[in-house]
Amino acid sequence: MKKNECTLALIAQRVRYILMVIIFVGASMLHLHLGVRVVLDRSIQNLMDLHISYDEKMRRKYEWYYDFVSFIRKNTPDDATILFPHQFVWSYSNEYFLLPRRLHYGNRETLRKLKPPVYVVIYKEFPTFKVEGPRMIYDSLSGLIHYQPKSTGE
Amino acid sequence: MILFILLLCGILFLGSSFTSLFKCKLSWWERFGLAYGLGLGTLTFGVFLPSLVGAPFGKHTLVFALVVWLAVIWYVKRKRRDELNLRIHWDRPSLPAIILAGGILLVSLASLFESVVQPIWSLDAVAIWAVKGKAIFSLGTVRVAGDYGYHSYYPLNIPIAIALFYYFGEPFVKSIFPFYFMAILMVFYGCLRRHGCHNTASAGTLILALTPFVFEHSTIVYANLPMAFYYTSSVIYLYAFCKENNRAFLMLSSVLVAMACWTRADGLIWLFPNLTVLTICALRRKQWLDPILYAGPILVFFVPWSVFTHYIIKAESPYVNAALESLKQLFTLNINTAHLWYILCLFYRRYVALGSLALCWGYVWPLFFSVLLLYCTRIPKYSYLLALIGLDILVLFFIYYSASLGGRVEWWVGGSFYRITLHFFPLLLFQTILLISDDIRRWRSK
Repeated sequence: MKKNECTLALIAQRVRYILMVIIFVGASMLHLHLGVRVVLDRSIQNLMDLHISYDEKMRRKYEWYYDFVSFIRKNTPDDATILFPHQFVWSYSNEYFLLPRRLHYGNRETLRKLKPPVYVVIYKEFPTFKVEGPRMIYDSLSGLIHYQPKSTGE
Repeated sequence: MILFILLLCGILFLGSSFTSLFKCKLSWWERFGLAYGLGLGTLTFGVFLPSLVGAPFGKHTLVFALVVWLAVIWYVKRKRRDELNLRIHWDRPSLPAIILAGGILLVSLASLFESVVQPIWSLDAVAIWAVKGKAIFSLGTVRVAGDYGYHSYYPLNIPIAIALFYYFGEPFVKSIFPFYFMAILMVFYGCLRRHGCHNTASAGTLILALTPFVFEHSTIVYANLPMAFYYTSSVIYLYAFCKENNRAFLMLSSVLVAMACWTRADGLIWLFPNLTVLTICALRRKQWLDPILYAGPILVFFVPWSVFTHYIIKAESPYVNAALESLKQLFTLNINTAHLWYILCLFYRRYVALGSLALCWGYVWPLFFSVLLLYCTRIPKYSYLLALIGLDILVLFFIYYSASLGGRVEWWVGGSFYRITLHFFPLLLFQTILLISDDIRRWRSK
């Protein structure tokens, strides 16, 4: 009786061991296949991107916004104060690209509270109020900058 | 480039000197991995402390912090009359282990290559971590970290590390993360090696390295991978303490979890599993002093940071109230079952029904559960580690339950669920390999 129990326990252990090997090898193979594909795909992409400039890579990720923010960076001093529309879609990344400029979001009231000179961003319908001073408009299609020295906007 | 290598050597030297203070048996791999994580963590904390009294951020502060830390470590070692131990223990690995190690090295190099080629562009990187680092670097003070980027109450380990690496340019900033990736792999391998053979340890490490989400986090500027390094290592060394009753492991675990709190704001919540299991262990052994000893290094890191957020930058986490409210509900057993059910359904829809779990984590979750089921008779042997993993999963649900009270759970589940799971994910694989190694060892001896 005792001998039979021992044999049964040994068989159970062996079955468990074989099951473990099958599960471990199967899951590991699937996992490694998935992982290798991810690492290889990304490494190939990185090799292809090796000769691409920083600006082009950023443009690929951020599309028009990268040119827009680069335009602001090039045409404002480091200590500039800039006013953006109240709910500007890209506000989360503005600070990163425009550091160390001081950024504010709001409307006419916000502009009044700020110490001049303040750079007001022209974006879609914004600003909806009159701003004194020259204008610079970047045409993302042609890459040209239109400069209006005395213009004021409504 | 030479200056960058010098900084890296400085971090490794500081880290290895710090690691040598813990008198426990650590392999060469563990020492090297810990040297980077502990070195960078202590250095950023050393740069942060002078800012409390208004010192500017710069090369002088960096050198000052490095020298002061090394002097403190040298003083402690002299006081304890520690001998300088440069002996490297090396046992000859088998051919499969060498092949697997080659695979791990290739994956690490692929991660480093991506960090050099691709710029910083991911959402949280530009909105939180990199912007804070860039602000500290360009404005020359740590105090501006609260004014730039989202979440001013976030700890500054990663932002200060980014600011330090900004001296050498953007590709070097991104290299912080592949190094953390290599560090976590080294510690993971070293710890597995202590329990099993070369082959299983290498296979486990390769599986971790090739987990899509872990690899992805080694190439983006998010604090989750460093957090995973600190938290996972702290749990592994806490388990080593529970097993071997060597207080050096306890202190090492405590320092690592303190650095996890210095890396992410949710570090304090992740203390709960560690403290619970440690208290149970201390009660069983009647070593009442252990939880107090464990809290020591955590307070060293937490108190200055708390002073900084409350009195200098005056920031407060909006999630503290939500967490306190859900704790109150849990203790009074006044749980909002509708919320709980809603979260569970959301998890099922998002992760199980859509099958996105495998795309992120590979096959580690099913492997863990099936191996656990297969070796359910051995659960008592690993009760401490399994309790830690179980409590980690509970903490994860607690975070989401708290978030649901603020009404933002859809957004949270969409993005940060996977990222928070990363903090303890390597433990699942660690436990799986331990269970398998046991059986392999037994059959080999037969």
